Amino acid sequence: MAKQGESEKGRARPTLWQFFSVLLVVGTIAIGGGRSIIAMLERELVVRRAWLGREEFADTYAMAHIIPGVYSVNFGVILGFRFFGGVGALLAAIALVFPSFLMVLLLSKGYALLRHTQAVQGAFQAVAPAVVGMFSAILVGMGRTLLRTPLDAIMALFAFGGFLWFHLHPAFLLLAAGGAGYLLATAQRLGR
Amino acid sequence: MPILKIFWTFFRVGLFTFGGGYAMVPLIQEEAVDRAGWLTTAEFLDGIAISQLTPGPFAILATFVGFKAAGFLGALVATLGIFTPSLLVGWAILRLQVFFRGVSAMDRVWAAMRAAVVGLLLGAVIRLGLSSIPSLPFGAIALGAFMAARRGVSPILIVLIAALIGLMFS
Repeated sequence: MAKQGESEKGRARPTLWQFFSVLLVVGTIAIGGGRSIIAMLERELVVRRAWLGREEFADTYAMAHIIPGVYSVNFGVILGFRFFGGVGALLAAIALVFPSFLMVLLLSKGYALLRHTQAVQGAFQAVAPAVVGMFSAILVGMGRTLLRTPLDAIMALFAFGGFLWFHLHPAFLLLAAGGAGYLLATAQRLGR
Repeated sequence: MPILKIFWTFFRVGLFTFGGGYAMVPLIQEEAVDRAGWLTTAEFLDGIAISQLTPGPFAILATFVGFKAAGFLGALVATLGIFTPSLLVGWAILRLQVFFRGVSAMDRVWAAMRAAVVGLLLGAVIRLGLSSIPSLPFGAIALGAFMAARRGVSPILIVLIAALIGLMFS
């Protein structure tokens, strides 16, 4: 399984085990969701170990956003595929997900046991609005980077209205937005 | 089979998630809370808090929801289900050497879908807010958390402080 020394553009590649263990460490300690996972992977893979060039990193990052799923896990999966094929992809997903899976499992168990105590109920009653506040902050950031043109804003508005007032399924709204985007791009091309 | 249903539900959620794990919130809300009734909105919010406290991807919210639905096995299949689409599609793309980025129309498709995610998330946040902010003091907590998060305070600190406030007044 070791493919050490195999190079692409003269770059040293890790062994499967090295790759897996770095991702496992990142999956265990990167608190703060996808953004901190990507930041840590950048430091570990590009800066410290030089397994990946900056351009390759950027390409992988862009691609991670266009396949379904969470971009941080997708990032590891794509790298795993590139380096080691299917086994690498599977191990990358496991390395990034398994540590938090175990922790959430433990917390879920604890939550199920303690949920009905007054203290836990009181604590979570105050945590719930805090979560809403944090999400609103995340939303402001997302809106600023993702809504660049008036067209984007219109798409967002339609999805918002369809979900909140008409109770349409989010997946349907996403597909409709994607379809509308495709039609607009095609119309623009034909109009030229 | 409820276990199969859990897997299939989260498989679909994973398939329609683009970008970060937060994009999953409206999808899971629709499927697991509103349709299947595996957990209440209040429990869903608790799960979101727990997912933010733990390291790793936020998408691990699936584990919590799966656990609420059917214990350990539910947690396992929900987690498998949510990440299976990435593996399958990632494999197909690299295998077929299809690079969507090369097709200019696809850029528009992804941009439109990501914009829709912002709208969906806004809808989800409003629905969650309506159910978790029954009175003014809770609104003050939400506002405080919003401002702290905007200033880059870590989510863990915000959740812990809110939990402490809740403990003091319970």
